[in-house]
Order: sequence, then structure tokens, then C-alpha cells
Amino acid sequence: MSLPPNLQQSFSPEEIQFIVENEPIKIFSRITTRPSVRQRNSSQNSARWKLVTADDEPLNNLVAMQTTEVALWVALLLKQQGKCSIVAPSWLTARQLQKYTDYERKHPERFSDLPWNWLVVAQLLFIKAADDLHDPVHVLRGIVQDLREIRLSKISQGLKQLNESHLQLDNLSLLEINELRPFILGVMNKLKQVHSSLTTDQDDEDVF
Amino acid sequence: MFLEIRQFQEAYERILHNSSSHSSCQLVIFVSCLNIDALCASKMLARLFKKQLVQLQLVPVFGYSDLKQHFEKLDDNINSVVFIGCGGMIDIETFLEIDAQEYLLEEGPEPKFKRGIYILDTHRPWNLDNLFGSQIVTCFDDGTVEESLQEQREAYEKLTKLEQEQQDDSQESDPSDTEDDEEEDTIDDERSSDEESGRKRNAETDTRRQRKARRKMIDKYDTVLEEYYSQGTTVSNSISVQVYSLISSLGETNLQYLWLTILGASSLDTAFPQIYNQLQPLLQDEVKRLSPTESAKTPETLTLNIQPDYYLFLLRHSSLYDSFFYSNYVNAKLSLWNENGKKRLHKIFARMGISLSIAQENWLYMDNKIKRELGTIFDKNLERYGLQDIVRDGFVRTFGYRGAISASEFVESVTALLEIGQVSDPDELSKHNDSILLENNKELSEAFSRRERKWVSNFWLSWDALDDNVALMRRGIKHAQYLQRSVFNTGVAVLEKKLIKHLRIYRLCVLQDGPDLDLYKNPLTLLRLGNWIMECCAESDDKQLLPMVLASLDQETETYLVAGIAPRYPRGIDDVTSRKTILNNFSVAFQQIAAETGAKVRIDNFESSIIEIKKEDLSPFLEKLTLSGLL
Repeated sequence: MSLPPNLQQSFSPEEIQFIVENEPIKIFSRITTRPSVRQRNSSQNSARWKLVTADDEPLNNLVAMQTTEVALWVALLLKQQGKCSIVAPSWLTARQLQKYTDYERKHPERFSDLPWNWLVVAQLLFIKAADDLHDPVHVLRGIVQDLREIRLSKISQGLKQLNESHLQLDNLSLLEINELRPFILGVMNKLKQVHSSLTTDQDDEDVF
Repeated sequence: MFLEIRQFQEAYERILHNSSSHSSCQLVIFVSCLNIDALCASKMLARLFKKQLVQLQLVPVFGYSDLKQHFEKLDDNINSVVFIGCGGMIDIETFLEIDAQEYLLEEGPEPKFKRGIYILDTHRPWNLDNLFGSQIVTCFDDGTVEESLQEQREAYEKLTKLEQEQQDDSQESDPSDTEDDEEEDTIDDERSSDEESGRKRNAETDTRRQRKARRKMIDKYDTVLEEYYSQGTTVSNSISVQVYSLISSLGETNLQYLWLTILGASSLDTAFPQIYNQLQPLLQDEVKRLSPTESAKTPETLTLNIQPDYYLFLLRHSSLYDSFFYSNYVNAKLSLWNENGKKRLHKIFARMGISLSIAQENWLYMDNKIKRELGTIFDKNLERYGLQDIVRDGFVRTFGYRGAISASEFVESVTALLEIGQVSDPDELSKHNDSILLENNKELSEAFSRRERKWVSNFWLSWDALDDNVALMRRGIKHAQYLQRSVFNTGVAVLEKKLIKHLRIYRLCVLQDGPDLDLYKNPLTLLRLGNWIMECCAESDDKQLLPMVLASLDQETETYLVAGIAPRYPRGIDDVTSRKTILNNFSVAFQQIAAETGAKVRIDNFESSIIEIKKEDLSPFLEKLTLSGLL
């Protein structure tokens, strides 16, 4: 087929990152793109952002040292050139993450309500915007790793419940779902198959 | 054209302006590939341009012929070319056959050109055609022009003007006028009787006197330039420091750039200590300015700090004993190549109170107490042996929990990667090469090109090592230890067999057979050996400082790789900066003699004192060199 086999059933991690990069994030701009009143009146047409897939209004309205919300991919692009600093999302602080871990520990049956893209965003910001985070990166990295491990163990506990009909995975992030997808889907499909043969057998017995 | 340090930013902005289009890559950087300083400088430039989202192409070149080849293949729409570490000593416009008019966009008092060539080179002397004559070539100067080239500048400008006049004159008048003066005089005598012609003669003598005066002036300026070009070559500054000053004028300094600068500057320490000593205080100030003040060590800290560093070979990565044993400096001072020297070394350890078994341990696992007190131990004991200058201030970089490395050690590692490269076990290197004798010229050039391709791939390997790649750096260190050991062995063999001949004006050493001969095909390794021998020689005799010619035979191509090395002062003792810099005279001498004798010589290396000679041409060449009196 035109798509390689490893991409036919699920997303690759890069595709997940691509999806996540479309989410909005707050930045501190270091440049000003908002035209001054005089410029606007003289209708001088300087270079403007013209985007098809995202809103270009905030980008043409940047003022240095004011927060704006833009798509994550734009933020990373500007960050690479030193033209903005990224404001870390409110859940990406040592304190908040600690709260999440406490919650995870207290409730062995449930996952805490981290945003669906927490792993990817954390990873991206650790690598590309480490200097913008309030807490030192190594502390954050440690807590994120804790969270990841706790949740992984819960997932493996939960796999005992696999059945043919349904599964409830509240608050599981996209990346975590994605790595489980091939396994869970395969097993559940097989279970379903086995089960359906069981019911048809019963039907057959009823006829006779 | 040339630029002062203050004007670097303008050039940068011009390059940026010219190459920031979306269509295609319009900026090419040529890097001299066997030069660590150039490597660091180009790394910094590439990072800087990457941040501005400018596309660029980086081409490592190993010699002039390669440079020319690559330059000819350049695309038409490339409008900025940067040479790093090369091109300053030759007339670029003639060498690369550039016709300035071809690139002319706009005429007028300030003509605009389509392509600009920028030269970042610290080899001196500058070629004056690049500095003053050319309009597309822009040299990044570090103040040499203002300080010491005023006379030459005047001479060059007057000379071009006079030559222009002369040409104009000869075009106007008939060819007989340009004959020699004496001849004209005899003709004049014959027809002196005529009155009318006498008047005519008056005018003629006038112009002739003018012409004579002009010729005298031309001669005078010619000698000024001749002297300038024949004074010998040296390196005036570090390229990385020049690039760093550009970056700091842009306000973009950070620790990574500073680390690369320090590496570039420290790479000059072995061959040109006076430059490093000049730059070191500046770099120290920068380190103090930029270092973050963190108390505890975390996995993320990549700090630079100033710590006592030793002239010992790879102290942090081998054992104390080995680093004493293989260090150039200690070797020279203690004459370690003979038995007595070795005994003396043991005595030093005894006096320092470090047992030999501890000294053989790897530095990482050595007793902490000794490590902590090493400074004071050295202070107390080494002066007796004249080794007190072993300690100096150095720069140490910490890679979080992965270890620390000092700048000089890192330079050793990168150099070794440039020399050996991909091989995981250096011992294979000497084995696998069973020399195949080549028959005709085609195979010869093939052998050269194969070797040169290898150097280019080595360049990229060391390029990667500069990206905080600890695994690569470790491999480089292993290579460096291997190389230093074989250099030591060869050096000892040379000294024991007394292979060094003291000719009247220089020392000569020819390596014809030996176990590690294959290693010395690389100019960098040959220079490493040269440095080792020079330092030993500099310590041993105090009468006169003689330059040295070092040649090694390459079986494969039947050529000798010959390096001329300038004499060196013994290290330490008194202030090095107060002494006169020694210029390398071989570059000029080699070129002249090659032209005179027509020996089969390849002068291709950017380091003009390194050449290749056919096997049978070496001895007549050296004979001529001895008698020429150019040194």
C-alpha cells in the first residue's frame, strides 16, 4: 500500500507531535509587529504574516513584552530565533506537577486530569525552551518522569481488565494511548472474535 | 578592501542582507579543514547564521587546488563567499581567475558587485592585492593594517598609480622611446648638431628625466614590497576570537560561543604561545562576565570556570604518571628520552610523596586528598627541576554529571579526531596499510584524492565532537593518547639514533623507516612530532635557536611530506610576550627554491611551510636550501 505498514494502524510519535504543535500557547514577544497609527494611516504595506491554517491576527499584532497566544509551532519558530520567550503552561511547574503525583498516588484506580498533550509539550519545552521555565529543568524532568512511571504501572494494572466490549481510559494522554493502541486493539479484536463465535454457537444450538 | 574590527558588523549585515532570500542557498563558507581554529570559527558562524534562518553551505577544503576546484563549481547565484583560515596570503582574484567586471551590477564611485568574497584569515603577511587592490575581496583585519602596514600601503598605492602612468605613456609614444637610456644617449649625441632638433630634445629630455625619476620611484616602492613579502609567515591572531568579537558586537554572546572561542585560541598554544598568552586575559574576563552563579551541581549545568591547568598531557583522562611522561614540556625539561630522565621523573614523584602505584592510577579514581593538594605539592617541589611553569590558569568546562574537560585537553581530542577519524581502534591504523607501490600518475592522484576525502570526513567527525558530544570526545581522547605515545616513540628513536643533522643554518630530520611512518602522512601529526622535537631541542641548547626541516617518507606515493618549523623559545623562565615573534621563513624559501630548481614539489597546503616533494628531488632541494641564504 502507499502507506508503510507501521503507519497504517496508528500514529507515529512525530505525527502526535505535529498534532500537538497546533495547540495554542502563550508567548512573551520580543518584537513588535503591531503597526503604529501613523503607519496604518499611510497604509504602508510592510511584510505581514499571512497564514492559511492558523489565525494570523495575533501575529500581526505583537507588542514587545506583552503576552499573546499563538500556535505552538509558531512559538517554537520564534523561540529558535530568540524573538520570543514561551510562557510555560500553568500545569508545568514543580508545584503543580507535584500535586498531580500526589493525586496519582492517592487514587490507584484513576488517572489525574493532566492535559491530553502533557508529555509532548513537556518534552518540547524541556528541549527548546529550557531557559523560559520557572523551575530548573532537572527538577521538572524528575517529576515528569515520576508521573510517567506511576501512570505506566497503572496502565499495566488496567490491562487485566481487557474485554471484548469496552474500556474506559479517562485522562489518558494522546501519546500514552498511541503506544498502547496496537496491543489493546489487537487483543480486543481477538477477544471479540472469540466471543462472537461463542454467541453464534449458542444461536445454532437454539435452532436445533 | 579591508575592514577594521569595528566594521565587522557591517559586513555581517551585508552578508545577511544578500543571502536572506527563500529561493536557494546563496552563501558558501570555505573552511581550511586541518585547522582547529578555523573549525571553531566556522562552527560559530554557522550557528549564528542558523539562528537567522540563513541557508548556507559549508565546504571543508584541504588545499589550494581543492579550493579552486570547489570555487569553480559554485553556482551562479551565490553572492557571498566566506573563506575561513585560508586565502589571506594569495592574490584571490588572480588565483581564482575572477573578473571583477563580470560581477559588476552598478557603476559609479561606489560600484556594487553581485558576488562578495570575505576573507577571515590570520595568516600573515596579508596579500596586498586583497587588501588594497581588489573591490570584491573584503578582508577582515584585526588592526595589522593600521599598526604596521602604513608604509606598504603607501608603496602599493603609489606603485599602482605609477605603473598606470607608465602604461599610458608607452601607449602614447612610439616604441623607440621606451628603449634603454644609454641607447638613447648615443643616438642623441649623433644628432646634437641640429638646432631645431635641440629644442625638440629639450622637451624630450624633460620627459625622459621624468620617466627616469619615475622608474627610480618604482624601484624604491618595489623593494619595500619585496621586503614585506619575504619576511616570513606567522599567525597574528585567532580567527575564533575575531568571530567572537563580531558576535559580541551583535550582542549575542553566550557560553557556547565563548567555549568555542576558547578552544580556537587554545589550539594556537602549542605553536604560537605568545598569541595565546595575549588572548588569555581577555578570555578570562569574558568567562567571569558570562558564568552563571550556581552553587550546586546539577545535570544541566554546563559551566565554564577558570581553574589551574597544567602543561601535562591529558591529566584528567589518564594517570598522573602517564601525563607527566608524555607531556612535551616535561619531556623537554627532564630529557625523558634517556634512562637518566626516567630516573629523574621517579625521583620527582618520590619527593612529591606520591607513590608510583598511585601515580599509575587513572586520575578519576585517584586519591582525593592528593588531587586536592596537587597545587601545593607542585608549588613546593617542582621548582627544583625547573618545572615551576607547569601550572597556569586554564579553562575547564563541566558537562553536568558526565565529567569535566579543560580546553587544552579538548583541543587535543579534536586534533586527534582530525588526524585519525573514524577508526575505533587506532592500533588497526598501522596494520591495515600494507604499502602498495603505485605505478603511474593516475593511481598516484587517486591515492591523494582518497586520502583527502578521508580528511574531509574526519573534519565532519570533529565538527560533531564540538556539539557537546561526550562519546565522540572520549574517542578523540583515546586517539590522542595513542598518537602521543607513537610520537614519543618516534621522537625517542630520532634522538637516540641521532637522526637530527645540525646544518649551519637549520636542523634537518628525515624519517625514512619506522613502525609508525603511516601516521605521519597527515600534516597535523607531522607537526605534532615537530613540536615535540622542537621543544626538546629548545631546552637542550641555549646558544642559538635554529629552525627545523622535518620530512617523512610516504611509501604509497613516493613523496616526502616536508614541514618547515620555526624556531621556538624555551617555555617559561621569563615573560614570553616581551620577546620578538619568530617568523617562519621556510614558506618563502620553499617557494623560491621550488621555482628555481624545478623540482617536483606540491605546495598545496594552506600552511605554506608544509610541502610535498618527490622522493628523488628531496636531496637536491635541501642542498639548494642550505646554500640559498634565505633563512
